[in-house]
Amino acid sequence: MIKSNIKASPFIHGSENALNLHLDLLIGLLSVMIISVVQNGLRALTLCLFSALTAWLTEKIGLIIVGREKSTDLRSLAMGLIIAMLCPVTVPLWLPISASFISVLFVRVILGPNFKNLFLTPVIAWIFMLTVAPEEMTSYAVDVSFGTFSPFENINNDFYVTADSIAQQLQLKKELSYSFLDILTGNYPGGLGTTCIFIILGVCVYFIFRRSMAWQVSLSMIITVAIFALLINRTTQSPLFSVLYELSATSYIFVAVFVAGDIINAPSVTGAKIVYGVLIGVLTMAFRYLGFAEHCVLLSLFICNFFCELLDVLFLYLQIYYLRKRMIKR
Amino acid sequence: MQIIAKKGVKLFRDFYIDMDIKPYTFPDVLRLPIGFENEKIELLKTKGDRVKKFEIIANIKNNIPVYSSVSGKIIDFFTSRSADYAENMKYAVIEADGTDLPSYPLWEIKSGYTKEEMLEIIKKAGIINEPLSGYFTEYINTSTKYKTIIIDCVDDQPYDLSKTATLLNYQKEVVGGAEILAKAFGIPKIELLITKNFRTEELLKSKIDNVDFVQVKGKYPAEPEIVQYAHKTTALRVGTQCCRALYRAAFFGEPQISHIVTVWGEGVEAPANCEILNGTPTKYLLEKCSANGILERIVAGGIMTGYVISTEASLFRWDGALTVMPLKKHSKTYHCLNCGRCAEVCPMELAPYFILRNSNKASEKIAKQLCAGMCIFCGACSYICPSRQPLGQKIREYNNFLNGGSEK
Repeated sequence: MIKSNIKASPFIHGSENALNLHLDLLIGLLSVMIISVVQNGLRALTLCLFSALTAWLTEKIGLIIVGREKSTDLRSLAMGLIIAMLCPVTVPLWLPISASFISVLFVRVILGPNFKNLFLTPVIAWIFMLTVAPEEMTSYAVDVSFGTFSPFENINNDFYVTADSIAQQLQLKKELSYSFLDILTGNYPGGLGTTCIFIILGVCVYFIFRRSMAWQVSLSMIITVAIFALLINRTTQSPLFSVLYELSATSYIFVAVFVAGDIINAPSVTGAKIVYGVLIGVLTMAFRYLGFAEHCVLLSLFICNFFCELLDVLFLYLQIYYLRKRMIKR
Repeated sequence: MQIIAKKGVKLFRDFYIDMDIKPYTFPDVLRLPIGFENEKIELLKTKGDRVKKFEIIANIKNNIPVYSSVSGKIIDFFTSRSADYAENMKYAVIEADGTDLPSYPLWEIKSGYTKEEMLEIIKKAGIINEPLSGYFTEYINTSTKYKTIIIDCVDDQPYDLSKTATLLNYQKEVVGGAEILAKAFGIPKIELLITKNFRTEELLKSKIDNVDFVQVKGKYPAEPEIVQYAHKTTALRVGTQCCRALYRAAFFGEPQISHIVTVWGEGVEAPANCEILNGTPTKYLLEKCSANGILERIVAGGIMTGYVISTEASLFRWDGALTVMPLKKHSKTYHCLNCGRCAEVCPMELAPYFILRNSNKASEKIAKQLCAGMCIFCGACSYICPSRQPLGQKIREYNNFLNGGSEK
């Protein structure tokens, strides 16, 4: 006997699904993590794994307790990795772990999906980490290589020589001596997963190819900062290096690709995406000129996220307005 | 000349099928759709009456006749809620007696018709214009001076080649139908809209006298672009089956009692294009095409826009496809990710995720402002949604609700 099943059209679906989107994000982050481990040693791996594991467990247990259905396990893992990658390799192990716990609990468990555009998990984690351990979050070790730091032990500040980040050096008007290759390969002070521009841009291309990111946001962020860097050169070198330094400072490219360009965080309407990216860029540069050097891109993101929904609605109504106008014409 | 559908989704098109059309055969019992209950149905026969092929069973709307497609006995009338419309459809159940004697022509046949005569024939023959899913007579604007006739042969959904098959098998009738319509209405130009598929390649290379080809390319759905093109060229859009029915009505005096359906899908062993009599039960058609009977989902009207149909029910006259899909494991749905994919692909430039979010009673005004009523139910949003949200279905339900229906 032939049986039929009630379901509405369409009866086929595209290959894209939420799991794939998150899997792509995770693949991108894991690629960055591998490079980071090669550059910073096993401590980078420990920080990333513990942070990701904490985020995953917090969401899993938290959602069981509040009785809400989870989206996919992969998203919380990715969030945990991003949190760890924003930290210098020398931070104590408890810092990204507690930040992952607090941010995932607050954003993904308590607030849930309806508030995802208002507070981003990595931004909340960053605020927490910068508040609890400001010194550790802004001290970068010089000459880090594989095996320099123990994977588990806490690292004392006296143990390593610190260097100013590019943002700090730009602010202090110091002469920067990083080559183009240094910047591309991540051979400069910064968060453990945020410095290797080459691999981040490679992942960005992968995301664009897979349609897993809001590239309009990332591109408009990069173009905005590049324009500012060309107009106001804070280095003693050519404008090209000004662009390079401003883009590599304060994890800018990393945040543009993995956090702001995340398809789930970004606005949905194309026009809103562009304005959102430009706003983040303008605010970031404003903060830099005003003197908030470290991680000002995350602060900008935190502020702009409050306008994310508003931008979407504005552009949507604009779109509908023109649509109606066209229909009336017809 | 080309029409390119820029917005929408890319669907698979790599399917092959024998393009011959199986002629219709007679099922024992037919369930003939008469009309929706709100269409002012005037029944001319009662339960137990005997009817002949081409005999009028009912008049609907403004005297559009509904013909019996076989000779036999009316054993029942019943109403059933349509799966894709929030309305009840009235059916007549006819037991065929196998004594079909041709009784046409039903009206005077001429070599040429005036506009008024042609309008009368279109109405009398009960011709369906399948691209617009309704009676042709309702879509003709008598005050418009049409400049072109567009023969719509666009099969842009997978597993549906009914329009192409009609054109390939009845080219003379399709073009002839369009020509007699053009002559009656004084329309100088005929264009044929075709999608690129494995058979229209050949068609494109060949030529049809007095007909210009327009190739429809790009994504699914092509509908908004076709509508826009028809508007721009002040064209009267007719389906291939509609043209064929026009030809048969004008030159043979026949009403439209059959239509062509592509029976296909992963659960069909012998996919085919079949001509079926109005009211042929799905089960009969499936048996004819060796559909296997294990856990299947039967979809009428195309897998992007169609609806699930039971084996006992019959197809509407504008349904060009009957697809048997295997009942796959329920794919998991997630909450909306706000990714905006649905808005990206929407051919009407709507924001389905936003309409869905505001489609509750409290924000009804917002949903109206978001032009939910402009949705063409192409299903592109649901197709692309990574969270597998039933966006199209929800918007349809919401529109039904706004239009005074009960589905919500």
